Amino acid sequence: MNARSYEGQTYYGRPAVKASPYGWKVALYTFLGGLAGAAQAIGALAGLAARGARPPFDRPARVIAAANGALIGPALLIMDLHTPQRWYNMLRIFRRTSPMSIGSYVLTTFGAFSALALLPKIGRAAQLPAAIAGAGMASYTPALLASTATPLWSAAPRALGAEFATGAFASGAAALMLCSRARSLESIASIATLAYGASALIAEQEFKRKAVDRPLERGQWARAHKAGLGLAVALPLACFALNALAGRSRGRSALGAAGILAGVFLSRWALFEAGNESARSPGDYLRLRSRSA
Amino acid sequence: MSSVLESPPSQPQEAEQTAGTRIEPGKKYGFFTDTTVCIGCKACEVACKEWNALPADHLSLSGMSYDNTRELSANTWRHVMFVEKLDGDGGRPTEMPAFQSNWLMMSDVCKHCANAPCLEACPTGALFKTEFDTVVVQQDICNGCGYCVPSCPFGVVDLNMLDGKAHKCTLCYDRLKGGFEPACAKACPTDSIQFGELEELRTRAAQRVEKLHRLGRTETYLYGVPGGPGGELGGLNAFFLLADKPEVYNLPAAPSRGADRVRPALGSALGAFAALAAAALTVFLCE
Repeated sequence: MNARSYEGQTYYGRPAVKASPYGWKVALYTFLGGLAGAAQAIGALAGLAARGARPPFDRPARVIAAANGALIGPALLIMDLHTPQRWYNMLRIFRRTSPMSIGSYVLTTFGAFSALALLPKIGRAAQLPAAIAGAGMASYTPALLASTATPLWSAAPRALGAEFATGAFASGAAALMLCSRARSLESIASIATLAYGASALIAEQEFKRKAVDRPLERGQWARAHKAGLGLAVALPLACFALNALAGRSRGRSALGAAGILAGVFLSRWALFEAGNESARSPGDYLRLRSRSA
Repeated sequence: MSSVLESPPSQPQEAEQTAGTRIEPGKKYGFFTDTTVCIGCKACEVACKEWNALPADHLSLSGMSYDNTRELSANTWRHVMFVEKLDGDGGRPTEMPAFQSNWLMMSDVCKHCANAPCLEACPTGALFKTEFDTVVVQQDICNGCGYCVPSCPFGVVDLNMLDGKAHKCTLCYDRLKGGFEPACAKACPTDSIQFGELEELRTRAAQRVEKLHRLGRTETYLYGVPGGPGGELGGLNAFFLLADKPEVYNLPAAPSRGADRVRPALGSALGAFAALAAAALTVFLCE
């Protein structure tokens, strides 16, 4: 029996696993959370490089981090609970096998330190721990999707991790670009969005290899995913390249940054919906789990 | 969930009469579902709905043989599946083999995995391992985050949108506390569903497979025993004797443990973030 392989049987085409209840709210949270974490980290790194002197985008970095980490992020997640009045049960235990549990503490830490980082005196000391928690904000969400049974999300954990983290870093830099003209931010955004494009490409190859790529190949979410990648990678790289060749233009910089923000979110949302679609496809799941990893 | 029915240690239990087993905290219990003797009567579904006071899910015909139940859900914790094995051309066979008669029926249920991915995913501790080694959602703790739903490798756990909590088979936690066999197993007229101590059930199941193989039905095997197919999660407390490939019953041949993917995903993400942070620092220093 062990030697047999999957030959395409399903039970009347009924789903073999259940799709997640997560839609745009959680997708938006993963986007904003990663963005905020990266913005805080970029602000802290600039401060570090300037030996404590505050970079021009210091204030926006702290505000973006605190607004998302302490207000918008928790609000989106609590809104998505089906018994929201019990949100505090998230902090009742710690479970290292659960990225949702890990994430509850990462978000709490990030939100608390980012709020402190806004204060005049202790703000300086609070930024570094907030930035470290920020790395967690960009990283626990792909682990959360990868550890489900959803075929698309669970097929390539490493590639998904890289795609989320690079997307977060690119959008963090892009958000700061809209607040500051610093040339360094444009360089960082270019590097990060290039890395994002590369890791999204690797992830797509992995999905194809594991034969779970159908919802990213056909249908409206496939189109949204492709459009998102184009907006997040091709458009900004073109804008920034023109800036490098023909001199910096404020409009091109802003367009590139806006493209990254819109594109990373759109492709993230599409990945959520395509994952839910893949969970409804029993063949994808049964094939993926037809042999021990 | 402390029960007024809790039986004192000295008194006899009903389960000793109906299942030949005494139910004691600290021991492991489960179901052995022998699909080769299932007749598709759905008494288990009815008994489960009755005991657990669960509402009906679908009141229409599905077109899937006799399976109008369709799936396990927040309100359906036993689900009898019907597979009619017809000829390749879809025509009606004129001769039936004695064994199974081209009919596969299986009463599906929560598997109560040893390393349950739903429990490992639950951030609130609402999902827990009981003193009977079964997996239960504590309704007074669950906050309806829904993470257990996509985490279950068998598509068992489900959210009830009316009460906002996750629900699934409790292996009749309340009945076990009172010394009663679970409702579905007690109602099963052919003993396709057997309740008992896990080790004893596994021994009994192995003997049944041996007997079937002796009788020439070598396609039969156990699903969900450690080391065998479906045993990837450390074994399933609710395991099955199947007569065809797992996929025919909508079961993955090799269910995987989501917790194993946390480290690679998290590690790769943190690595990518750190690499970009190093690049950003270099950019700032070169300014």
